[in-house]
Amino acid sequence: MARCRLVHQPLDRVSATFAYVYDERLAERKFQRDIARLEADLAGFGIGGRIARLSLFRKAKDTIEDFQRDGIRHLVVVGDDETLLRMMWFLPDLNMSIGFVPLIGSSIIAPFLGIKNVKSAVHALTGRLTASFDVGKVGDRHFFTKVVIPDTRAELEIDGKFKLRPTEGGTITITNLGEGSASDGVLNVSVSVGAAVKRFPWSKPEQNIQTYLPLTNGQVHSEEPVTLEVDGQALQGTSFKISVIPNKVRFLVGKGRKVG
Amino acid sequence: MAFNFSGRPQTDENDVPLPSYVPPTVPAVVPVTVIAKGVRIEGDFGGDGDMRIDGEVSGKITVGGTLTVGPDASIKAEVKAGSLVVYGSVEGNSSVDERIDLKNTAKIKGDIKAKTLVIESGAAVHGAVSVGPSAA
Repeated sequence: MARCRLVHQPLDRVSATFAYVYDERLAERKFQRDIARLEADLAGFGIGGRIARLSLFRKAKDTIEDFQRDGIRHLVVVGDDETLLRMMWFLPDLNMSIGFVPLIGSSIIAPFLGIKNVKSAVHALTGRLTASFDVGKVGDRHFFTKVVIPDTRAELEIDGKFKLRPTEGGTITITNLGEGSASDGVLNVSVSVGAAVKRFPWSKPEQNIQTYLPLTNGQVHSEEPVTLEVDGQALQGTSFKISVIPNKVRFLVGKGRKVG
Repeated sequence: MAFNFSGRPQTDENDVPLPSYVPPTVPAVVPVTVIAKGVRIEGDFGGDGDMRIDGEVSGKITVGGTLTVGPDASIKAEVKAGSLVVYGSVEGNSSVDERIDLKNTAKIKGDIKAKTLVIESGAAVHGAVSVGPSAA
């Protein structure tokens, strides 16, 4: 669970509606220059704001709910995909638009938000243009990108009408953001079966035989406990309800977004 | 596919005039469902777009577009489709709005109804065949 601590900023540079959550790794010396440049840009555009750093000492959810009570309307996550996904289980329930600055490494999510780099991320914040995205749900937990059930014989019941099962085992992936659009009100199910094959010695093994179909409501059943990777975080059990909530979360986006 | 672009903040002290934004137009893509070999489906299964089945399906299949049954597929179901192309095995009655193509490896056990029927040499049909504009 993500936790964070508040860092105080001089009030004359602070926006009443923007707040920032920094990944804890950004405290490392190697990021100090990037952080200083980002904060200077934000202050220059008049959208500097209160800053919280993810840490072990305080729950991120509590801090962000405090932000909301204080009238913050735009919450900006600074870090990488992992930073954002660690908070996506609760962010959709808050009435805030979410900004994203991918300051650490590369990002798979950023192109879907029309963000190419830190500079375009700042422009997306200044533009205040928002787009709504669907959010998936596993039990009570939201997810933004995908749920993976690796190497399983679990059964997936779809829309209460039919059941799907990899007969010899396989990997079931339920995607919101990635394959297909994250604004179409459906999740995409893919099933990979067969032995994983390496195309090149240096590449990851790939399972080539794929099943694709849409899902709006589903349920995973398994006699043995299975581990689901939900936005990269593990969840274990024998039965899970999976659904999609259309247009549940608003992101501050740039232009030229990648659409599915 | 619908994209909802919400309104912009009204009272932000930092608000500046914004350029007009035109949402990207996304072409209407009919989704293609694929059931690959190694996957089994049981129940009332279907979709509005095209579909290809190479796995096992039992129950009922309703497809708005073209249903293609691959050579490794095993279907034990009642089939309703816009069009049907069969390379593999279908056990059950098939009712098709337009055209059925039975390839040389096709094996059908059940009644078939369609406006048009094309059968390649080598295809096997065990069942009643009803073809013509009034049949479908």
